[in-house]
Amino acid sequence: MRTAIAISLVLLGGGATAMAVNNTKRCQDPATGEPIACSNSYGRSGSSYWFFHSYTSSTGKSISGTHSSSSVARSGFGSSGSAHHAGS
Amino acid sequence: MRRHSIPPRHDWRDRARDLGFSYAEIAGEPYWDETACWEFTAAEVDVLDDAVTELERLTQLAADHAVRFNKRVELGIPEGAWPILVRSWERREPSLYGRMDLCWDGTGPPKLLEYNADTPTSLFESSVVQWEWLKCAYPDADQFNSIHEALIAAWGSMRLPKQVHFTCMRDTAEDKGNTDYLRDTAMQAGLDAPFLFIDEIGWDGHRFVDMNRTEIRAMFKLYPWEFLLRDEFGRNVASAATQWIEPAWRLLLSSKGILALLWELFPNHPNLLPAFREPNRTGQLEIAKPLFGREGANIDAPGIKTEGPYGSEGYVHQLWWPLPKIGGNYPVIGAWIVAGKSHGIGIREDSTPITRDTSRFVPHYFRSPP
Repeated sequence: MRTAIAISLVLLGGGATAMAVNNTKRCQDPATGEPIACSNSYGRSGSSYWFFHSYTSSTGKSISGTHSSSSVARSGFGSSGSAHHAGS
Repeated sequence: MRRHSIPPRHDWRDRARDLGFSYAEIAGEPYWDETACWEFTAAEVDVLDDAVTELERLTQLAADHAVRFNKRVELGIPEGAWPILVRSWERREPSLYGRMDLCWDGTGPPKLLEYNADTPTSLFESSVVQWEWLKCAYPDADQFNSIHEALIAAWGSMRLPKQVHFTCMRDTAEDKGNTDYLRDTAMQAGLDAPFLFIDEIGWDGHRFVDMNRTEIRAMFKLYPWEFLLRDEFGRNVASAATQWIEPAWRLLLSSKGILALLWELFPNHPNLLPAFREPNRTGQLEIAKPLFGREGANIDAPGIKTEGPYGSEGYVHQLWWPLPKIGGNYPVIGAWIVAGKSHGIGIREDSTPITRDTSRFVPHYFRSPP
């Protein structure tokens, strides 16, 4: 069932590594910029199950789930992943 | 279709490591399991191949029907996501791969349990690891497996830019291993394939960018659409020019609501099981599956109920069609589709009727008649 037997595994056999950039997800207090606990709508019932972004803190402040470096925001993806993995 | 208990190769761990198979054991438990294997006849492989080809045809028709007749609610897809899916479908954005999970014991027609159309894993072990095993253990036999060659060919046919970024979550060897394998096939197809973790993706106000602020024009993501759109950057997906792999329309098929739509469109099809959005419509025992459940979580089946975070999005109720129990094991056949065509299988086994992320991968072979 194969046309080619030889498999060249450049990445897996060769041990290539990903970029070692630690860019951890956090939520920030808009006034101080300090990280604070926050949550999105994940897990709530009804139409809020998975769409969109209702980040709230325990104080009710409007907060940002991303952090920016100059004009590029990061950490805007990844918060919905389970603790285990995203494949199926 | 027969299960054989066999002695494992004495050096299988070394071989797995040499292949880069970093998750052959998970949490100290075997995931790759070559203490057994499955034997098929060529005729049985033909049955599987034909069934998958037919099911792929049906799912394409169902996706088209869903878009034409707006089956958003039936599929459990939020209103804000729908235009993204519709645009993706109307553009015919190309799909790379998917895995159909089939129930079959070698008799009768194989039955579709579900379609992992967005973020299927167990790809590397299906494509590479079990092939390497075959060449050692049964060098004179064959295997239903042309996945590797098909992937390399597919990359060249997907109308992609020269550079395709790859991403997955952190801290998961299985996801990283599957993603790196796909990067490997993309590179063998001549693409530039940089990697970054999902939280490293940047947004500059107009475009998704990598850590060098280079625009991400095309992105393979081992991260499901329902997560992607739920995340904070999900609001930017509609306006960005990024081509996503898998494309957004695959969410039509990865919703388990598609099982009910398939049954509605093709009732009594031999490769389908009765399925409905409402309970007790089959008139027999049923299994309830969350529309966007994963890895056997939040399942409610006769005598079995699993925990997990899913279910608030709704359920599909499918006729209870238990996996065959052979030697105390319940095998599910994962049938691989690459660029819309059937290209092989991988078998996972569990000690329970529900296949989970801890189920073991068992290799297979087949023999052609002399």
